[in-house]
Amino acid sequence: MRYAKLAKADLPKLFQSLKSRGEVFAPVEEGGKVTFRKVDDLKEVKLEYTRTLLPPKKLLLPPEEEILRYEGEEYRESFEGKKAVLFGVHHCDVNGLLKLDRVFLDSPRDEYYARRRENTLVVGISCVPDRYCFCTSVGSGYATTGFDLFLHDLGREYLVRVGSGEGYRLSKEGYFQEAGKKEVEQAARMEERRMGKVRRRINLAGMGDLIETEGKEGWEEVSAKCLACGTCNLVCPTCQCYDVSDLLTLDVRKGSRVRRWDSCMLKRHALVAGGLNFRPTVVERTVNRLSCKVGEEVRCVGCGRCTVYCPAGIDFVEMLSAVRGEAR
Amino acid sequence: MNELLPRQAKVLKVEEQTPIEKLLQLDVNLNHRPGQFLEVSVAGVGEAPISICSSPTRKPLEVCVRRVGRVTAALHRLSPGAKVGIRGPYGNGFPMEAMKGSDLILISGGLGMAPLRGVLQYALDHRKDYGELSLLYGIRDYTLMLFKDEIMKLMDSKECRVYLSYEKEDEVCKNLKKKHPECVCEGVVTKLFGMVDLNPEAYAVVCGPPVMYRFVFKELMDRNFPPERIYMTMERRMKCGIGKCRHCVVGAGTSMRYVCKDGPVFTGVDALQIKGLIG
Repeated sequence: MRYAKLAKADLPKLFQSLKSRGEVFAPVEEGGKVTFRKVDDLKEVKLEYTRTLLPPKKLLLPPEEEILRYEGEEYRESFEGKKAVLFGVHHCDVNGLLKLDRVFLDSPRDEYYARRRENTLVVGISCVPDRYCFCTSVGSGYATTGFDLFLHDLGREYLVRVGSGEGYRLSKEGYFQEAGKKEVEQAARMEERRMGKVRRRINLAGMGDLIETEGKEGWEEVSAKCLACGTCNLVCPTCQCYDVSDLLTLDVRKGSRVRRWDSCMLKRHALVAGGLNFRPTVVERTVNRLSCKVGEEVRCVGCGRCTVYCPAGIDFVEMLSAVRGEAR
Repeated sequence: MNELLPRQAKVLKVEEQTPIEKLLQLDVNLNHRPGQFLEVSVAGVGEAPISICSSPTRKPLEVCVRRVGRVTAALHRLSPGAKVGIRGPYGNGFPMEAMKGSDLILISGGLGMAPLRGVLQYALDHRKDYGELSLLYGIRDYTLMLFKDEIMKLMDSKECRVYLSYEKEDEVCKNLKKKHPECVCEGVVTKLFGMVDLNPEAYAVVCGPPVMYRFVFKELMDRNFPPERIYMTMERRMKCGIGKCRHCVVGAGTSMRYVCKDGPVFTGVDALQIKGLIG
């Protein structure tokens, strides 16, 4: 890894430089919530925050996007090809992007995601954990790859880790300084303190097998409060499900194919034409969701969003503790 | 290459198979494997996964479409000359190479005959590469029987042993039973097992409505048929076909599979390991 140092006073210079590379999306506080949105001025950016409502995924896999257009029967691909910068992404969310990469960049790759990922610079920043975070026990407490630059707050300056060629070119700009062992040690101590604030633990040992063998009654208890609204999916940094529909213009000659985020907790998710539903009950959909997140591999990054935003107050960690047979 | 961009294929022929199923010939050259599927688009309506029902040894490519939803209804409205969008072929398909040298027992119910017809044609076109061929086909009644002429012709030939079961007796079925009491009976497809000598060194190739699998599987297991020699092709909501949209995912806990990418053909061992695969 290459390291550099950036005085906080010089952060506006980095911001300006990023702006020249594309539209900058950064955490902004709006109505008591922090969200990633387009910013023009560094002053708008909330540098210290806990979690955004929607993960930065929304810029690489938009909630809705046109993938094709057609006129008559001929299909044409729709690509925007805009350059963008994701500024201020936390460790867990960078790891979330890496998990999406494994899905969408795996062969055959998804061109829409792939081109956006190529066109997007990712600048990470250390976070402010709260009691819902459990990133450290799912291996997502620290990002070692998946970003162009990562900023670690050392008080008056940032230690900057450089994660890509474009990041390297940025780090060669005049306002960056060299960083050495001293700053790396400082950053490691800071990170240790930060990660120490992540108190929540999740025990995933043998979880896949526990999910597989949990009985019907156990599942009914676990999912009793669930409204099957799909909020957990929408706020999840690693949920990948999407649905596709064709839209026609009024003259019926032209149209487009759009894809939208879908949710495995919604009743229609596994419904096939003819009316057969392969996961008709909330229990079956809960088993599917938990299996997807922590059953076969750990796709959960411990950001806590599904717990924080669940309208029924379902706690993801407690849910899995119940599957483990531990008292809530 | 953009895997989500369909390419155009002309519809060469549309033939009514049953009141709810049509056979479409498509002008497209694919080197597919029997058991693979296509994502077929009708512009302005949408896209649906449709299994290929012809063998790569026969041209042109054919799909058999049951009218069950919006896209399939639109496909039924097409006439020769119309264009559809296609992506694929997707999925693993049946291991025709690995099954060489063995007997094949094809077990199908209803529309499940469509993907198995590709297997059947392939085996008939490479007749010397395979041992005995048997087809066990369960239909509701004669009007809903697919590929009637082809299967009737086979019944009278020595190429393949055909066993037929029907749920609702009509004149044709009644006469067939009278003519071939040793291979035609009333009931569901599993009733035919009583007529067949099950060679445990054969391969069982299964396709039918989702409810059929666990009964066929149980029947085969009860007769000590080795699960690794059972190949079953599954239906799920395969929206993207390439393992991204996750609608078709099956299993729970440690065993999760994409039907579109890891399947749609699974073995009997998979059925034992993947929770909910066959219900």
